[in-house]
Amino acid sequence: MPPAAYSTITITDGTTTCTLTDGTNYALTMGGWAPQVPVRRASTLGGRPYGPVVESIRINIFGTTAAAALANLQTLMALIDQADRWYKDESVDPVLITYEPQGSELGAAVESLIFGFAGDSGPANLPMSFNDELMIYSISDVELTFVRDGVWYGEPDLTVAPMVPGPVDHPEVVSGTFAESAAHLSPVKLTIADLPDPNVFDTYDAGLLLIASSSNRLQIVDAWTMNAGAFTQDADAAREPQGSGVLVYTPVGTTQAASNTIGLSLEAGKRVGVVAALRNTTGLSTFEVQIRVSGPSGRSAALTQPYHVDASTTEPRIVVLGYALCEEDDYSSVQILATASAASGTLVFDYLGLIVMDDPTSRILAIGPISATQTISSGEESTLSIDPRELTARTPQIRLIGNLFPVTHYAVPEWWRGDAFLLSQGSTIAVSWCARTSSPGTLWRLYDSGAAPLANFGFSRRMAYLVPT
Amino acid sequence: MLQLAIFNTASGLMLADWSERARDVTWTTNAHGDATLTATIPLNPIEAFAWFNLTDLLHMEVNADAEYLWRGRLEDVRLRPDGIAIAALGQWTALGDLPVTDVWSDARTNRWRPLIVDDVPGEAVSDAFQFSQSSRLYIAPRKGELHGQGQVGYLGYEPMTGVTRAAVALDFDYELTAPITWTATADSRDNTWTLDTNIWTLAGNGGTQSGTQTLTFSAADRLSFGLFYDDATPANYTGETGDIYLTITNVHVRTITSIVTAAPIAAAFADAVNSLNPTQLSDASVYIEDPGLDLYEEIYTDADMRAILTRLAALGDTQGQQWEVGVNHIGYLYLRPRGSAGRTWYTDASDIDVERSLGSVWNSVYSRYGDEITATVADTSSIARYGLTRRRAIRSRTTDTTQAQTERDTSLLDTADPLPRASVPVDRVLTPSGAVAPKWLVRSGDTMIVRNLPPETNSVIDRIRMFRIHETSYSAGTDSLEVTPESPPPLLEVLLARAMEAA
Repeated sequence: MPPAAYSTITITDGTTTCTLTDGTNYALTMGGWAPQVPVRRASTLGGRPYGPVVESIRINIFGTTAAAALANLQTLMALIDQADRWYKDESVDPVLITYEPQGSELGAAVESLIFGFAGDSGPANLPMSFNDELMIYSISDVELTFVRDGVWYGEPDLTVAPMVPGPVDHPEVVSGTFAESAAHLSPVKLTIADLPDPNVFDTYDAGLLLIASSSNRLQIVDAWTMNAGAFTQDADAAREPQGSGVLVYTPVGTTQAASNTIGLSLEAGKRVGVVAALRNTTGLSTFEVQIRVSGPSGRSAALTQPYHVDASTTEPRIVVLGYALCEEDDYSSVQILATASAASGTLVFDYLGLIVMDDPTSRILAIGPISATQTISSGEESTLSIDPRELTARTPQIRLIGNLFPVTHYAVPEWWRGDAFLLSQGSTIAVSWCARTSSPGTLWRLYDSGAAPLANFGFSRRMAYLVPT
Repeated sequence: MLQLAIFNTASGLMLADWSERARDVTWTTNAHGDATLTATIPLNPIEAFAWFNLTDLLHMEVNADAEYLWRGRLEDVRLRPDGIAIAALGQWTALGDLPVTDVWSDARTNRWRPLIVDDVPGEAVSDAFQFSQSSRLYIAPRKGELHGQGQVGYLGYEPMTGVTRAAVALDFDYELTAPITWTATADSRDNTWTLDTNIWTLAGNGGTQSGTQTLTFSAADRLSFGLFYDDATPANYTGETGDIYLTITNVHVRTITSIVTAAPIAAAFADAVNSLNPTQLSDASVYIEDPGLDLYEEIYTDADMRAILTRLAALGDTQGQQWEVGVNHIGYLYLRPRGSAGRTWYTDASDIDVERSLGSVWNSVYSRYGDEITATVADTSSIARYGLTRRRAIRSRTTDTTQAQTERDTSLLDTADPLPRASVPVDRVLTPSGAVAPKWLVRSGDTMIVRNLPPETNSVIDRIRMFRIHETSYSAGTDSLEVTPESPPPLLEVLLARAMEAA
């Protein structure tokens, strides 16, 4: 894009806009502003990765009359006040500051949310010449002060739809490449489109989303291939396993048994999250499950904490087994260890999901049931959306959107667990959706035999900048 | 990144995700699992009042990638000018929602009393006996009184009001001195003293008979021992009072047929809490292990289950191991050897606060029991280390020499080289293989090894090189972790507590 001829700074709520560089109503004073640079939030709680900053901008305000100049000042104050009220969850629109630096080649201004007043300060310090200069229809050297999101966001990068491979036979890992590489942690909106008619399934028992920065950090392992000893294979076709079949552990006693090891191709990391699709088939026994993750030649073996599989249900479950904490090394194999409370019943595995967790872009996001049919009609295909809402809201949003034009219906999950403010860095992203339906409750996955496999994954990322570009 | 969220129930709807909004978020763990969580939530006044007025029982969670880190219920909401301050307590607190009144094993003799005619109308109850219930149960016919099948001297057992568990077992030692015309019995009875079943009968043989009985029977509200002249024709007793007698010692009423250990008590508590408040605690007992220690007297009157379980866990098991009790993330009560579910972590101490005091060192001990004293024993290593012999006397509540010696030796173990007080700030947490781990994974019951202490053995520093963590406190805002090393209770206290259980 051709470089911007001059700098443009606005404060806007989408309806009312104050252009601080228009030279007619507002103008920056000489040396009036340098954008603040944020630091990473120290908090380990989720959400925006960078902390807010306090901006201080010195401007001159003009008008064709004194009243007009005062009105321009008032408009600006009202916007910053509105930002403060929005941040306090009043029902008003959010307010953004936009900035296109002189020479920028992005083709559009970058944007940042204004959070409101800085501490106990008001939105502006007015000069002592305030009263004197009104006769010349100006207010000079007004210092605007407000808190904003530390990050500047570019235009959405609507990319990777469909991803490779697609449509997806979940929980298969899909990956995609953005047009550009993000230098900083940038928020990502994930959509899973063209989901089947929700009336086919009364309730989505939505399961787990595994998200990583690349397919080298996320792998789905077909448990069918891990047969050895007490671990045997079974087709289990009626339950729609994700691969050739399932792995069945039949205990002969109460001592721990080990499956065959299976190769991994995960890149090095220090913490590996493990999920599993499993089923306690009879409820006659309970089981303790651990996963062993090993490096080359069996070194750097690490175990997850024991996970208790109770007898509360004989339907498949998709569960988080925990973390394997490893000395940083390439992971080369994984193994299932199981202990039964009695030599009866069986424990069945469809697949394992492994994800390298030690970077802020990795996620295991559990999404609770979505009772969609109350709001989304028969015949509506729907889209599951996980939206960080980085410029429009204080919290991310997960919802199912019915696509029956012209009316859009929504359904929300009963709960989610995990950080839904998805982030991306670099140029790639990978996702696996480990989901199942509760109706019929016998299936391993989300759809019934004969139904088309879903779905189309899409990512929309706004590039994050620590300094305007 | 972690999630802080609030739900309407543990398995219900998410009401708010406060991850980014919350300030000063700190949570703690202790031996009972998740302990406390505090945070400040900036809100506008309307929202703050809405949350304040919400009296529903709400559920707080901290999750790490969909795995539970901390779970509990919202207990306190305080209005502030800028929002609300919240405090939540871990699921262990549910055991304090109802008191417990019950009997599991009762060895008290003063719970037995002579029955009178009005207690059991229509039955042949007689007061022509001498009774005693102090330290033993004793029934003896009085000289000159009329005795026969219609005149039975009973000592009856009746638990206090509010007890729900019924007696199903009775252990006792007996001594019966009586001619063949006299008979001793034990009976199970209902709550009106009406006879259920005769559970034991022993006829006199002209001499003294003694033995031990362990009886099991169908659930009974009350019990009785009886002695009577087993002849259809009544006659005056001409012998001396005390020549014929039934003595019952070590009487032990149980409400389960097996020995009473902490495991069935814990399981029953979980069941009781679940019955009252199903969302607060699971009734599953899969994580309740059995310490195997026979508990001789477990009687609860409007008692706090948490205090009971904490005491039972502290008694340990038959191998002398300490145990722990609490509630895990999925709301299951656990009872297990202390630290058995813990992980091992390494850290490098950047700063360490250690205090040792000579005043707590006693390396030469003797025990006084009654008017006697044991020999003095000394720990020569401690004397050499400190360059000083410090001697003390302990008082043992026993008349048995061996018991007094054991208590003396245990006291010496506790005090010859006492554990110094220490606090260790944790900057980095490492796994045994050297991998850096998130600090929020560290929990009470885990073991911490400080890697960079001087490699001296048999020293004060060596005593804190490796310790079990008693309590953790993690602040999310600064990613900072504080751990409190465990100070195990002195061995002598545990020994005495267990001795009292068995007495």
